[in-house]
Amino acid sequence: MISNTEQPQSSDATANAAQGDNGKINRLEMITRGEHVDAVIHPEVAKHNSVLDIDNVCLWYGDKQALFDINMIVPDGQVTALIGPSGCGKSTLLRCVNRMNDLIDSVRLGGDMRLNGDSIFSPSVDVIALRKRMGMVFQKPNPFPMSIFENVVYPLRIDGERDRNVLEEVCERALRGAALWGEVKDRLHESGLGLSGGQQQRLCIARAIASDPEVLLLDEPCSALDPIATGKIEDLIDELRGDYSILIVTHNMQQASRVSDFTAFMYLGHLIEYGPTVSLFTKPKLKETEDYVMGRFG
Amino acid sequence: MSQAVESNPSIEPASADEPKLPRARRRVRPGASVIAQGEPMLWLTGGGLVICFLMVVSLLLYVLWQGMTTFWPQPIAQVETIDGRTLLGEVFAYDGYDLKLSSLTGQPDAIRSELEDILHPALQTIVQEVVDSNLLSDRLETNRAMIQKAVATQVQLAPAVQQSAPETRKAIVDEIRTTLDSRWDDFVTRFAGELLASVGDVSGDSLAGAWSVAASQAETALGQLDVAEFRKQFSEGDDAIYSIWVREAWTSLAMPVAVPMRRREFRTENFELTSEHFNWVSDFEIKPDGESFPEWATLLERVEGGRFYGFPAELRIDGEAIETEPAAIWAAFPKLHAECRERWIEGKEIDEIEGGAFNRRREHDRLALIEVGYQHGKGSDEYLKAKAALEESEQAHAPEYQEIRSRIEELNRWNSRYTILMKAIDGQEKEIPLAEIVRACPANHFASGEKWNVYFSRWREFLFDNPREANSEGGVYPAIFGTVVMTLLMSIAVVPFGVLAALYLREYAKAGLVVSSVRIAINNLAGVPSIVFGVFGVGFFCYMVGGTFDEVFYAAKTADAGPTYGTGGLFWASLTLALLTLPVVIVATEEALSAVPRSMREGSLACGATKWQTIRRIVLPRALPGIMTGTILAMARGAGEVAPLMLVGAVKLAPHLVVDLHDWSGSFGPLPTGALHPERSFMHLGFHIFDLGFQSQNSEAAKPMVYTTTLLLIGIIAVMNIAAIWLRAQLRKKFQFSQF
Ligand SMILES: Nc1ncnc2c1ncn2[C@@H]1O[C@H](COP(=O)(O)OP(=O)(O)OP(=O)(O)O)[C@@H](O)[C@H]1O
Ligand SMILES: [Mg+2]
Repeated sequence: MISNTEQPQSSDATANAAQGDNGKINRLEMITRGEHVDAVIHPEVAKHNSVLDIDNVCLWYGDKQALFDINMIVPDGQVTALIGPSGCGKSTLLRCVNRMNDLIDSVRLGGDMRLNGDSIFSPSVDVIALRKRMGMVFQKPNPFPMSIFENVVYPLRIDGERDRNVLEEVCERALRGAALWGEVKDRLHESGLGLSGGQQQRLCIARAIASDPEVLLLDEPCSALDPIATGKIEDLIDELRGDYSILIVTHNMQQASRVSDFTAFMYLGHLIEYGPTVSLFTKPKLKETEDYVMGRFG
Repeated sequence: MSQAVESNPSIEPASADEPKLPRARRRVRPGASVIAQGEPMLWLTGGGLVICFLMVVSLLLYVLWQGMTTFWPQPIAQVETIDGRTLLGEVFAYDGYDLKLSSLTGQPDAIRSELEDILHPALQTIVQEVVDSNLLSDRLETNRAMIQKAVATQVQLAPAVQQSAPETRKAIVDEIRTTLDSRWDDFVTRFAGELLASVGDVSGDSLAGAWSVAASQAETALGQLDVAEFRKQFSEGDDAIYSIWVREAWTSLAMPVAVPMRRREFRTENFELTSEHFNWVSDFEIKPDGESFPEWATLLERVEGGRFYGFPAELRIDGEAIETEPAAIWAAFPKLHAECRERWIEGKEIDEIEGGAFNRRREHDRLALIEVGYQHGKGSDEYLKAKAALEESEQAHAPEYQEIRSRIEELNRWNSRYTILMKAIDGQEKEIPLAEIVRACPANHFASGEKWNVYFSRWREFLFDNPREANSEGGVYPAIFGTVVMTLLMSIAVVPFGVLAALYLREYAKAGLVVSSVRIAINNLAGVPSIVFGVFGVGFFCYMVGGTFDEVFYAAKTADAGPTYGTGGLFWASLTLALLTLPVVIVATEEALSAVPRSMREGSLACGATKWQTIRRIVLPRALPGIMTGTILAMARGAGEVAPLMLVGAVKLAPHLVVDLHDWSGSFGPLPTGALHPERSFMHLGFHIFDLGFQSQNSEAAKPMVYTTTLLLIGIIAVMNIAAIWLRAQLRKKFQFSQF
């Protein structure tokens, strides 16, 4: 926790320095040239307790570096959005958190992440146990080929939970949490694949929150959905705020501004600016951020 | 701000003063539109499908038709031929052939004159066609001058010729002919040879008649010439010239004399009396009104000795005729016959079950004694003691055996009282015990309902009984049983191994050279000829593994009575086929596994599932329909495979089924297999087809059984496939994907 308070201070200093240079340097061009650029991190970020600390994370796909020295903290109980043009490494960063990148043979990692103080990247970490502390929702809904009930209690099933009462209770709580209970309570034992796309996505969210995760990772959860389903999911995220710490990737600026408390702007594997959503969208410290959120590029 | 805008040209507004570039557009050329719409490919692909479909369907329909009709009772025909034979039997096959001039050679006179009568109109027709065509007159035009000159010469010479002495006359004629010949050299010599070759030694009256008809037809065509005159001059050898004329035209028209004829193969049987099963009879050989269907012509299917066609003469009990009229015999027959058959079956069952148990116990004791001898040596005390004990128990059991035998004999004695006297068409008589008749069928007397009875009774026998008559009659139950049990055992062996191997290859192994080469090896395994698997099965399973088995568990028995596991048998056959079908299962499973979306695996892993949990709970259920497909293919392939089975245990006739419900001891010795005897050789439908069609003594008579057996094999495979497909559909329904 001590380090948490220290880090933002240093970031703050960098941010101030960068602000002083505003208009004179173009960060995006520097990044394109391959030069190092410090992130601008708003001081408000440090006022919260962090659930996840990201320290100097670098990542390579084979020879190609996809993340460059990412430093940020994810505040506890808040919704943090990752934005940035396509291919900038948002998904990659998100997948680092639960080490899904391990599945890709060519990946190399540098730096570390800490979940409530426990290292994530250290080789001695039990990845399975780590993943059980998080929930993840993917861009495309991916319910399992089993009943709605079984889908929701899947995390408990793999833990060997057999007690019917526990399972039913968890199922109801998770489905209510995912705002799906009313729609499916009469057909819990039908296939989860028979739901609509929006319902499937909420089912996946229910599955992700069923095991009471410390962090919820959402990777563009609404990109395959229509506006109404999207609205429902956004409402849901709003409701989950406070109970869960949420890290969400989105391409939709309005969505980011509507649902998130904090926003991080990334560009080509670099973190550019990170701060409270309101200030990032209304008075960003960097012109690049302003251009991006105003839709002038990307 | 402007910097950012400049760096991103895509959002720059198009300025109005920029020169307008012509826009590139796709044009549709009219000539290409048909191709563009894909019509020719539609026809090509559709045509391909139709051809495949037609080939498969016509094969299936042919097998279906042949297989379904085999058991229908055919009418029994009686035919009298012009050369004095009388036959009784069923029409078995039809055949068309061409009657040619050369067919006349070497025929007996009666047949020969009949054949010439048949050929005559054909010859006439051909001559007529030659005459009708332009050929003669064309030829005439070209040779008119020559011919006219020749004829003029002849006419001039005629008086002189008439008056001269025979020798001179001959000389003159010869001279003229030489002149003619030299002028007409090109066609006279050429066709004279051919004519002689084709006519051969044929010189019957009617044939000569045919030639003269040809000649006179030609004369008519040669009307302008004074042919009569011309002919008169040449009182000798002139026919030949006309014939050559006709012959040349005929050859040019390429019309050989060939009369389409039909002959039929009659299944006449009564082999012990006639030493033949079949007789070919051409239609022309049959006397006018020589074919009839006598009401009481009866077919007897016997347990042994083949079919018998004849007329019932007497029904006898204890040698006394009780009925002599066919109608009365037939009225009394069914009841007596059913009783005799019941007794016969009872005797057989006693022999099989009780006698079988007795023999098994004896064999068991005997082997136990040999075992003792093997362990302790033949001179040892133990051996002598065991031997004495065995003899004692033999003594004790002797009355039991006697009792079994006497019961069977009693039944046989009872049965032997009832016989039927049959009269064959050639007048010979034969007395047949009723118990040895499987089925009697006076087909001409039968109404269609009774025919259906026979039809179904034959099917019943086919499906549920043992074969008779070296497999060419009776049932294929043991083969059905062997096929199904072998296929099931094979599936039990191949599916777990195949799925495990595919799981490793697809889920665990790191992609690389080793995995690729393993995969290539598996694919190649699918292309290895199946007989190679058979050879491998014999060498490895039967001789090596089985031989070792025998050495360890059945040493004494092997030394005495030959190998138990060390030879072909159901178990090794199943394993061999499992090996053969392994690639099918592996490839199908791998495909099914790779079709499971990555997102599902990631979803599961993200929940904290281990790899195996993900595989077991997500991947395998999703892949199950695909794995089922692989299993279905493997089963179909395995059930239809024959070549390797010939080497590893399929036999023409197996004495016992592989599952023996009367004997739960398993095989002799320590391996407890219960009622299943996996070491036994077995019968198999595929092998049965091969054996029936090509290996049996009377393979002609077995041909229809080939079709029914094929139909049955296809049916069994179809049933297994449909069951598996149904299962797969159920699974799919459970795991289906909805698209939102
Ligand atoms: N499996 C992989 N192997 C190699 N390179 C990869 C792989 N996955 C992603 N990358 C590369 O890493 C970079 C970041 O990808 P990432 O998927 O994180 O982008 P993103 O910000 O999520 O983009 P989007 O908004 O389009 O989803 C991209 O340049 C991409 O090409
Ligand atoms: Mg992404």
